[in-house]
Amino acid sequence: MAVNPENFDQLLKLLALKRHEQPPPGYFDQFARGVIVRLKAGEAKRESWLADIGEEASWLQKIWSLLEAKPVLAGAFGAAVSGLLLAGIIYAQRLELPSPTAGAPPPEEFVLAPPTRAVEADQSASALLASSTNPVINPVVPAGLFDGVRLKAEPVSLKLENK
Amino acid sequence: MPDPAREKAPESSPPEKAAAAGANHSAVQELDLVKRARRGNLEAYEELVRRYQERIYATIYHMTSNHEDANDLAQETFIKAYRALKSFKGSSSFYTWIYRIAVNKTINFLKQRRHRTQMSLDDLDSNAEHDPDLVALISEKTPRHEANLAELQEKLNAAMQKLSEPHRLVVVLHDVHGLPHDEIAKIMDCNIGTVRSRLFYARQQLQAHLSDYLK
Repeated sequence: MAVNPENFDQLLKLLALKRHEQPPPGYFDQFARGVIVRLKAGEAKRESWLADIGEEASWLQKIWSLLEAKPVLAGAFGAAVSGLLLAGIIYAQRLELPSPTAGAPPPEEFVLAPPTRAVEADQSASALLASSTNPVINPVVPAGLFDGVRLKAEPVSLKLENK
Repeated sequence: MPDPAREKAPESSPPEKAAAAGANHSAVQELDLVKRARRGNLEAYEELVRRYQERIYATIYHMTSNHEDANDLAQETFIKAYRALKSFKGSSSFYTWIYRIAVNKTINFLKQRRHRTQMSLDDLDSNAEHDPDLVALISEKTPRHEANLAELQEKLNAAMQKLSEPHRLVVVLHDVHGLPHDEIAKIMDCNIGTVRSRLFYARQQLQAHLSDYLK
């Protein structure tokens, strides 16, 4: 007999079993105390951490509690800090950007030298290479670094001796 | 689909009015406890823990099917709640608020331990043996006559663990704890329609997993 997929009566009866699951006896008698002990231990840890920081923490704490208590004061403090930051940025920009003519060397006149032969050859070669779509058929071979070196192939004979 | 007894009845009889007045008084007391706890009064907070420890523990336990995990998570829930008391605005009840902390903590924990699902089940109380519905389930109505309550408990928990966390949570809050749909929607931060559809789907899944035991 198949179970009706939309009739959950039997399932709900079975789920009632979950309500009978109970932790070990006396568990809840100690639970709340355990939470409070852990909370106290945590607070003590926090207090000792603050004590380690020293006197700085006390005034920092006072300021923090003051800001926490009065949100208007916190807002004003935030605005003051932002204003200070903005003023600092503007002041720094003024220092970094002096007037364009102050302290600059007098402008010099630059004269371009005529190109040398090597440069001319190189320029024509690169112009050809750049304009040609088939540089292999280029009849002009540019002067290269290894023009003076002649490579000669010599046959090599290997004698293998059988032992 | 009948809602559990916690949902409000349309007309209230004198005993219900008395219960409502008691609940109101309790809410006022609770608010006072929260205020005192917020000022650092640990005695007041201990009282709040006592009020909700069983429900919070049970919710986490039914989600994890593990006593040790439930114990740790329940303690951490109350510790986190104490530290976050200043952020509690009172727009919802303290009960809903702390439930939400417990649920979020549990779901995060379950996501982390996805590949480790070791069950450590609590014992059944003696009343389970006398529950007529349960007795019927383990006797003539099931084809598994040899099934006892402990086996049934194990199968039920295993089937629950097969559900996704949101589906399991809806079953725990509604079918085990008897919370109404709107309360569950607040705790889970979703709408009532989502709660209803999740509940329907989760029940169907459970029914399929436990078909041998449901006849």
